[in-house]
Amino acid sequence: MSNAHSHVAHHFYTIEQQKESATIGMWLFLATEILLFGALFTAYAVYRYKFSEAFMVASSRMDWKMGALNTLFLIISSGTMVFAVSSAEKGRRGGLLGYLAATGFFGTLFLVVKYFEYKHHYLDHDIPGLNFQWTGAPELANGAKMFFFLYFFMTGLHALHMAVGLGLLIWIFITAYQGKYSPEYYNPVEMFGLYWHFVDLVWIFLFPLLYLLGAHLPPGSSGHH
Amino acid sequence: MAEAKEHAGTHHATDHTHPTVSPVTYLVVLAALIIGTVVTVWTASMDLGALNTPVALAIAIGKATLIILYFMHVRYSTWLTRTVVIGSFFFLIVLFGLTFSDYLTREKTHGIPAIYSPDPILQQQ
Repeated sequence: MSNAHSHVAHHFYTIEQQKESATIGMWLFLATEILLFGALFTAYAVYRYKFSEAFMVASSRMDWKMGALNTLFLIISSGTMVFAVSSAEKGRRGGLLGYLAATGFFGTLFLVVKYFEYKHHYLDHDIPGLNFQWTGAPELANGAKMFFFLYFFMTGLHALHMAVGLGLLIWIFITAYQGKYSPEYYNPVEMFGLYWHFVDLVWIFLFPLLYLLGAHLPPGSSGHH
Repeated sequence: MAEAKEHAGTHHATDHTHPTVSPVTYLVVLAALIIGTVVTVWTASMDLGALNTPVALAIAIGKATLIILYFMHVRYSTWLTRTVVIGSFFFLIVLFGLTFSDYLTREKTHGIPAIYSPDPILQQQ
């Protein structure tokens, strides 16, 4: 099985065993990530259960178009990532580099949109602990503050994952450029893909739960300035 | 699972752990994810009362399932990998389930003096 030029590390019998071990290891890491975000989703659910009206009104202050645009950016970047893995599997280095670059492009667009959203929230005095001011109904102030606290915590942690992902993407791009991957060995590309799709997956839940709660409210019912 | 058996039973170094997925499959999943996003926004703009969030969550779970099965290749993975995937979501459900078995039953104590509902979250508002 193993020889001097093999991609199989000495502690594995076959390349399939090596790949499955990497996949399981990656999924075990993602399991801890699911529970990390899961704890935040649980906190969200508890406070929303308690402050349901305040969450609805506070959420209508969000710019859902920015959130929808970012959802599309992430979904498209997941699509390009899947084609990057499939290019690596077929040994197409050019395709791999191109699709990785496209994934990085859409991932960066996501963070650019997020930057403008945060800036807008800063100017709108929406940031608890920094400049939070609630101009809506006073009885909703506590719940609205909790909504924005959870919004910044959850999207901030997600954006941190995006930034880490973009860093890893640069590393994968450089190693792919150096020709380190082949149809026999492209584990890092595929494992990075799993991470990238997971980050997309978290956003798919964050988008409706944070941006769209007040989308059905008539215009002018929010606490907007 | 045929793939799993074939995978466990062979020792060819050139074998892939999953069959090559057609680009058409990926494009169909991508299209479904984009349509799902449009439907999410569309249904959220309607007043469905208490159903707004369940509908949004159902669409999100559908999209997540597509990503996990096709983009993350769980549909083509071995049962050992699948066990880890299912296990991680099982513990997420335990987290939600135990938390809400607490909060949903505490709410019933609202008519009772606050001493029986010492939770600060429930005491606010």
